Amino acid sequence: MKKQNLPGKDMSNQNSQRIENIYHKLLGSIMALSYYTDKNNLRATMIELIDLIIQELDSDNQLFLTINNHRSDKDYIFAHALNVCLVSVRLALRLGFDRDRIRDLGYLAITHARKDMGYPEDLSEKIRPDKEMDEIIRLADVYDAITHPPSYRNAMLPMTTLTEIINSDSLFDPQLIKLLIKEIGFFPKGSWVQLSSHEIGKVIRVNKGSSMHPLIEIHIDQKGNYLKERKVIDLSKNRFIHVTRPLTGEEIDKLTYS
Amino acid sequence: MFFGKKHKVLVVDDDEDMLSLLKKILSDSKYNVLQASNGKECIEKAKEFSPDIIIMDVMMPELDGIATILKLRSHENTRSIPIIMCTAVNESEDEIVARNLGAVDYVRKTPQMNELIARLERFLNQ
Repeated sequence: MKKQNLPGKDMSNQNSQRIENIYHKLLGSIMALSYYTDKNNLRATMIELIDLIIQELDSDNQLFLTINNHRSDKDYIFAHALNVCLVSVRLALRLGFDRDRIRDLGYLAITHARKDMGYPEDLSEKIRPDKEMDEIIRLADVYDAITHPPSYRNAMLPMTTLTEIINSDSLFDPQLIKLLIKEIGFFPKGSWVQLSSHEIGKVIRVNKGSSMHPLIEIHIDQKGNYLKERKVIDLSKNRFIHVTRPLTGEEIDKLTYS
Repeated sequence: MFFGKKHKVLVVDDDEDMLSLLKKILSDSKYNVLQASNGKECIEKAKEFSPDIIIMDVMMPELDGIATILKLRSHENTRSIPIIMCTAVNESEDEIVARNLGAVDYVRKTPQMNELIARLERFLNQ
């Protein structure tokens, strides 16, 4: 079985760190915005924020994939708003929305009827969401609320959630679901999976255009031993091995670390 | 409501006291009440008995109310059953997602459940 070392691992780590920092910066800004009282100022700052998100998500989807790593009670509502915005903007970029429409969408996604966040209610009065924008936000909201719930609910795995969403028939636009799956992948970054080789590892990158074949860092070998030196396998290049299933939340809790 | 034809209401809550309270109130209002104490049981009973409406708690162990709506939506026999979410005070975060999943209403739990009964009747008699 061919195992590969990840080339340029340091650079990839640096980028992950940079993306993490951006996510936290955005989260902090969204929390701070809820204390703004000057509407014009709030609107301008919000647009700046969304432009930064558009810029990041236009070049690649790493920021978009960070949504799988975050959750704490204190900032739940804000992290959820940010995640819904990231998912919505990414989908809109892929659908070729023009810049103004993406701005409106991002804005609606952050404020999406969460009046309890403290944003003035009439701030978005000039934005008229069309049906397509509504559908995008609705799908993003459901996906994130189920995969990253508040602490009193249990998280469902992304793959299970996406499968249920596919099966939910007319609840969502099938083209949007397809696009979301393509973007997130069935095995998102940070999720734990078992491979056909019986090894267990963590997804460290989703390969573009090959959502079923991510890059896996192997933590546990066939016999159940934790590896001292972790190996990385790119499933898009190694077609002899595939993911057999994601680990359940319970199984992940049983790992001696995560 | 026609004489002899009672609406079937499936009540889902992991709190036994809440279940018996709802059962008592609803039975008094001439409904046929079915019970389930978690999301899994809710899905099984919904498939078996095709209730006219489901009243469900958000906060339940294992399969919570929100995940249960999504699962109900992905089954042909259960996808069109109307759902009223019934919740404790502090869970307003879930109202939007419940509605996005097609829940018809979202009601706070109160000891008398007046509001719940009113909305249930309004919905069933539309």
